[in-house]
Amino acid sequence: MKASLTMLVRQQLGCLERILRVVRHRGFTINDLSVTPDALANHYVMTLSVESSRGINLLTNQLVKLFEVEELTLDSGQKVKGVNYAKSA
Amino acid sequence: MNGSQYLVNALEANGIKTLFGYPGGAIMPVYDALVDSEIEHILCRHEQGAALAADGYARSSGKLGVCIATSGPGATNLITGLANAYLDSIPVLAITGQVASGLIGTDAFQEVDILGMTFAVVKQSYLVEDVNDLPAIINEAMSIAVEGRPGPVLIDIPKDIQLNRIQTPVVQPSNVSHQQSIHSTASQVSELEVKTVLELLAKAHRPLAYVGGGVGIAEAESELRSFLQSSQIPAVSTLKGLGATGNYHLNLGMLGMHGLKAANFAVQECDLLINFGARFDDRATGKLNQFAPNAQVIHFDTDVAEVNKLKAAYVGVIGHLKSSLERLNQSFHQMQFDNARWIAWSNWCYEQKEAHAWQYEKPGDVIYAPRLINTLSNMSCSNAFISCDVGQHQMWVAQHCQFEQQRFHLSSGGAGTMGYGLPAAIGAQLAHPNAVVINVCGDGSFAMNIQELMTLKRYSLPVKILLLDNSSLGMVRQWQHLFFKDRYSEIDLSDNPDFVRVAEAFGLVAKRINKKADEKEGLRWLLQQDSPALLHVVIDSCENVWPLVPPGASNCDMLEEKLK
Repeated sequence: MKASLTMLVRQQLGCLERILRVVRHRGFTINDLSVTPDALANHYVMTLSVESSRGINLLTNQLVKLFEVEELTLDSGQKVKGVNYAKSA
Repeated sequence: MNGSQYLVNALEANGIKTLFGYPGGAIMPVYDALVDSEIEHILCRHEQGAALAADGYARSSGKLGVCIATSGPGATNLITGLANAYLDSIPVLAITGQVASGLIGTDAFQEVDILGMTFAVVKQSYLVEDVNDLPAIINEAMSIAVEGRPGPVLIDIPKDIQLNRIQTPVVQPSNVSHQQSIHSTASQVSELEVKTVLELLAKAHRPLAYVGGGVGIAEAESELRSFLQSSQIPAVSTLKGLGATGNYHLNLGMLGMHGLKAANFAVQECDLLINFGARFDDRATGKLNQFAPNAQVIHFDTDVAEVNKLKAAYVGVIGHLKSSLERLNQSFHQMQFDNARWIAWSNWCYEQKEAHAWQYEKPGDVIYAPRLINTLSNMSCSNAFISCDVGQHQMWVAQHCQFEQQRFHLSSGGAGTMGYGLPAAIGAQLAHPNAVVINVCGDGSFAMNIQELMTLKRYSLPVKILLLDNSSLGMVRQWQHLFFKDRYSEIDLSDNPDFVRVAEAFGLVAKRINKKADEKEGLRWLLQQDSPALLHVVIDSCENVWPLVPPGASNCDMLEEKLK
């Protein structure tokens, strides 16, 4: 199963390592990765293409729990708010 | 005011009364600030002991546990404790000293990248880069640790930041009480979800509640009991869920690898499994595709990532368990639900419970550990805290003790950390100075954090240690016997020291028993002590934990003791 996802990430020390660690640990390999600063101050836009034998929800449900992940969009267009979005916004 | 003084003031202002820690070079400014503080600092004798004591403090009270260590090895020694708290969802705040900012990345003395090393075992973590960030970081860290699904949070503070002058020295306490916040996650239970749950219940003939540690963490025990009493649905518990159902007569006990037969049979037979705050852990489910094979699943959980992670749920109810259960109870009562359809099922479950009740008679005059543990449970008061280490004794406690609330049972469930029990008991005793706190341990686990006997003595904590000594690493021995053709490898501890003399050397009172006839008298002696005490219990080195579901097998394929 292949999937692409885009995340709005709050810039905080270690935030990219934290996200990549979750991707690896939950059983997904990365085929493509880009990180660019967002127009919104102190934020990145991170786009990932991933592959795994596991369902993508097993990854996205873990990613949206990370404090820095404010919004996640799947290639289907489905948007998921980060669990802690309200607090960090 | 410098950063260290601000940190200590902020902890005080947020209601932190106890810290567990160990000083060292890179955390000295904080220890200097502690001199002028009313916070009670408990000097543990190893940073792992400090982290696990903070876990025991938090787990037994629901309050945030705080531990503190220096950089380098001080920080790395905390990691096992953080992993333990992470896997069991316990709110712990860890504060570490770091080398000065300019030295980070130069391989300085006692420098490790603790931020990088702990990503996998914390809910969130911070390296403070500017002293003026401290107020926001401290408040955010404390909130994150206790809110939603609780967990550990780390703040790493370079030494220069600890010494730098802060611009806003007035402490602004966080809005969070640092008691696990009951309604922090607004219930998102929708009408549709409740309707679906009730429809599934209306169709079910054999419903079963599967109760996990999330119930106690959410302080939803009374709501769960209300649901069970009014529905008369039988229940099984995970290791961490023990105690949540109180003395509910249709509680069938622990399920899983060392679960009770009635509990495992019920899971196999049910047609509707209602999961309250459990996570389909492999030790509970056995072979997953044969777990509750005939059941539809309803999953109540605070954490969205747990629903459909391992077992598909027909309906997932995401939200704080207390709120979700309140809502369920409300709807259930309004419907005046007719549960006649599953009365026969409930009766069958109860009959299984009776038919497979534990037998405590054992020939010979050696001490039979399950009977001893059950006697301990019967003799100690109902609000005694029992902390365990990890191994056979841990399973005997889970099988043979009755708990009125989850918080009375302190057991390392997810991480399975040997050496947890003694520091956890220290934390629990400090959180509940007047309570009876008992640490049940094995001879292997006891040695893992034996240095904390000094902490017991220093602070005169009347923790009661029940040491079950089978002169081996019993659980490993059992597995080598069953699954490795008796090829015993590094499990022999027959050269253990004289544990009574060891305990006495640390300043405890201690006594040994080794005969069946001494079981009650020994326990009575232990429970009567009002100072730190140890009862050394010599048990049969070949005693095993039964039943046992072999790894990878279905829960209905339980191995049982072969009677000689």
